[in-house]
Amino acid sequence: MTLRITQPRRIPRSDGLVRHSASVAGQELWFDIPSDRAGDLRGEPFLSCLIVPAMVQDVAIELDPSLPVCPDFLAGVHAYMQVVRFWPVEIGHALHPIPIRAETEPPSPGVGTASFFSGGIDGLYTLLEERSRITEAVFCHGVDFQLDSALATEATTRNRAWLADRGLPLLEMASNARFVGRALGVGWNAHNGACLAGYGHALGVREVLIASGHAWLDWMGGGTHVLSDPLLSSAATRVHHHGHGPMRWQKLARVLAEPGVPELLRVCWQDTGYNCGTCEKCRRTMLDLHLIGVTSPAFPSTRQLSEVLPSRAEQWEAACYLRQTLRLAQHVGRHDVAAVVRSRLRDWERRLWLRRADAAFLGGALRRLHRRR
Amino acid sequence: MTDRAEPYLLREFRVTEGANGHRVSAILDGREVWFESPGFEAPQEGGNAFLAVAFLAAMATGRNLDMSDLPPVSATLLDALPTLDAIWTQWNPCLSSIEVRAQRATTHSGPGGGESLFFSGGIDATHSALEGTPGQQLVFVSGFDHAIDRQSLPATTARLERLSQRLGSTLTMVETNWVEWRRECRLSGALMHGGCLAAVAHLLGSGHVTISSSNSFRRLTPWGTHVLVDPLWSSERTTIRHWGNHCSRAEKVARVVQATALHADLWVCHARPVGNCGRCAKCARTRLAFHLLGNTLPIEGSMAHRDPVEAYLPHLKAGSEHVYIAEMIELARAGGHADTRRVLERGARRLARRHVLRDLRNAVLTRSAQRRMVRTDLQPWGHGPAPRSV
Repeated sequence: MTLRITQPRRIPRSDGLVRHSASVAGQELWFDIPSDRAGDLRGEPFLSCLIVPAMVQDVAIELDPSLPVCPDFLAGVHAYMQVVRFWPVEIGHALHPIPIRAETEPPSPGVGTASFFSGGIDGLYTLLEERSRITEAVFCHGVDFQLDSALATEATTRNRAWLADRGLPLLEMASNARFVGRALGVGWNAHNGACLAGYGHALGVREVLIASGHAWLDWMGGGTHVLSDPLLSSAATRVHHHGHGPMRWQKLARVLAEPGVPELLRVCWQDTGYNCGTCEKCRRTMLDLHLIGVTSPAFPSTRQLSEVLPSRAEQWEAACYLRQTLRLAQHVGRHDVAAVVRSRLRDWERRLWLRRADAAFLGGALRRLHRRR
Repeated sequence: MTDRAEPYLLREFRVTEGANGHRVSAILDGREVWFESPGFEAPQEGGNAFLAVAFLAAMATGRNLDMSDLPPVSATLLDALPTLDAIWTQWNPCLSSIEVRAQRATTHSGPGGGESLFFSGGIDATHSALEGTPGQQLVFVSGFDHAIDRQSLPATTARLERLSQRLGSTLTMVETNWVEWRRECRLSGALMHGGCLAAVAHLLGSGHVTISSSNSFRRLTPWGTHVLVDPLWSSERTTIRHWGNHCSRAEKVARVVQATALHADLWVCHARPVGNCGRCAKCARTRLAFHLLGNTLPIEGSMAHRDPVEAYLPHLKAGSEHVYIAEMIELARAGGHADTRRVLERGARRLARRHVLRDLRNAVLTRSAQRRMVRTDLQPWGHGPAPRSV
C-alpha cells in the first residue's frame, strides 16, 4: 500500500491568498498562504503533515515528482521516524517507519522568523522570550477553531491589536491538515508538531518556532516534542521547539507581567466562548491564575474556588498538569488546594492501576465490558 | 550536619604528574577527587570538570556552590546551569536549586580536535563504536562503575586494547577515585554518573565526546546521563552528545552480534569487573538476546552451561525487566523461537501481575510509610540516610 500525494496545484484566490493543494487518498490537502509568501510548490508541507498518518497506517508515501523535497529534510524525516516510533503510548498509535519516494531538490533560502501564536500561554511565552528574533507571529485557521468559526475572527482581531502594539505583524494562513489527518485516523495531538512544521515550510520562513507545552517534569514523548520537531527542518526552514522546560504556571506568571496579557489570554479549544471556563484546560488555567493571585477578564468570573478545582484526570497529559499545579500550590503555600490536587492524582493512579490489574489478571475483560456498555 | 548557609566549597585545584599521566585533582567539600590519564589534553579545563562533578552533589545538600578558587569555567557551561538546575529540581524533589560562584572564562581556544567515545566494551558503547566515526578515541574510566581494582586492571586493559584494535580505534585509559568519593558522600550513581563522564570529557579536550545511551526514546525517565541533559555539559571546546536512543536494546545487540570478532571481549556484567558472570540480570538478558539471534555470548564459570532461557527467567521478578521483556518476546517471534516466545510471554504476564500486586501493596501502606518510600525512591543518594558533612 502507498499513500500517493498527487495532482499538486497552485491556485491564486481573490482574497489575496494562494492555495497550495494536492490530492491524497481521495481528499484534498491544502494550505492557504498570503500571496507574497507563497513560493514554489514543494513537497515539505505535504510530507510533514502526512508522515504520522502514513506511519500509523504502515503505508509508504510517494510524492508527485513535481513536489520535490530538500535532501536535508528527507534525511530529517527518516530520523524523525526513528524517534516517534518509540512513542506509541503517547501518540496513541503503533508507528512504523515507512519508505518515502520523493524527488530531492535544494530549496530557496527562507525569509524571517515566525512563531505560531493564538494567544495561549505557551505561544505568549515564546513570543516574549524570543521577541528580538521573531519577525512575525502566525495564526493558522483550522488548528484551534473549526475553519468557519466566528470566534476565530474575534481572537484574530484581539491578537492582531496586541501584536501591533509591539510592532509585530500577524500573518494569517489556513490549512485543513488537522481534518485530513483525522480522516486518515490520526488526531491532532498525535502529529501537531509535524503539521506546524509543515505550515512553517509552506510559509517559506527561515526559522519557525513551535511553542512547547512540556515541562521537564513531563518526560514522555508526544506529537510535538523538543526531540522530534527540530528533525523536520530543511536547508531553508529551521524548526525550533521552544520553551520546553518551565512549568505551565511559571510561564503564566512570566506572561502575566506583560501589559494586556490578562485581557488577551485564550487557552480554550471548545469553540463555545473565548474561554468557556468549564473545560479541563480553562479550569486548570483559572486555578493557576487564582493561585498566582491574578484575575483575567478573558475568563468567566468565578465566585468560589471549588468552581475551578480540578476535575478527575482522563488522560496522562491532564495528570502531568496536575503534578505541575501541585508544585504551584506547594510553592505558594496553599495546602488546601495541594490536598485536592493530590487526591485527584491518587484517583488517576487508582484508575491506571485498575486498568493494569484488568489487563494482567482478567485479560482486559472489564475494559471490554465497559466499552460495550 | 553542615549548615545549609555554608557553601559547598571547591578548592586546591592541582595538576601534577602521576604514575599514569596528568593527575588533576581538587578538594570538594573536604574530600579529594582526582582524575588521571595520559590522554588529558586539557587539564586547564579543570574548572568545567569539577563543576560537572560537584553540581549535583551541591544540589543534593542544598548548598550554593563556591568554586571561585578553581580555574575559570566556560561561559557556555555557566549559561547552561540554570537549565540543568531547572531540569534536576523538576525531576527530583530532593534536589534544591542552587547558585554557583565561579570565575567566568573570558577567552577560549575554540573547538578541540578529534572525537572520543566512552567505552567499556558493553553493548551500548560497542554499538556506538560500530556505528560512529571510525578511528575515534575510545575512553575507559577505571573507578567509574567499580573502585579501581589493581589486580584486574591489566586484564581489563588487555581486553579493551583488543577490542579497540579490532574497531580500528585507539584506547585511552582514565583512572579516578570518583566512585569511592560518591559512595563516601552517599550520592546515587544513577543521579551522578553523567557529571563524572562530563568531567573526563572536558579534561580530554576532544572536540566531540559521545556518551552512549542506555535507553531508547521509549524511556526518557530521569537518569544521570540523558539525551536532554548531556549536551548541556558542553563547553566551547568540547561538545558532549548522548547517542543511541534511536535503537532499542535488541537492535543494538543485533548489530553487535554481526561483529563476531568482538564477541570474545565483550563485557556487559556489573557484578564482575572482568568477564561476564552469566548470573546477573544484564548478563542473562544479553546472553538470551545473543541466543535468540543465533549466537553465543561468552560466559565464565558454571553458568555457561545453563540454558539461556532458564538463566533469564528468574530475573523476571525484577521491576526493571519490564522494559526489556517485550523486546525479548519480539526477538523470539522474529527468530521463529515459538517455544521460547511462549515461555517469555508467560513470564511477562507473571511480571505484570507482580507489578500490579506490588503497587496494591504500596497503595495500602500508611501515608507515612508511603512518604518514606517515595523519599527513598527519589532521594539523590539512593537508600539510606541523607549525606552528612565531612
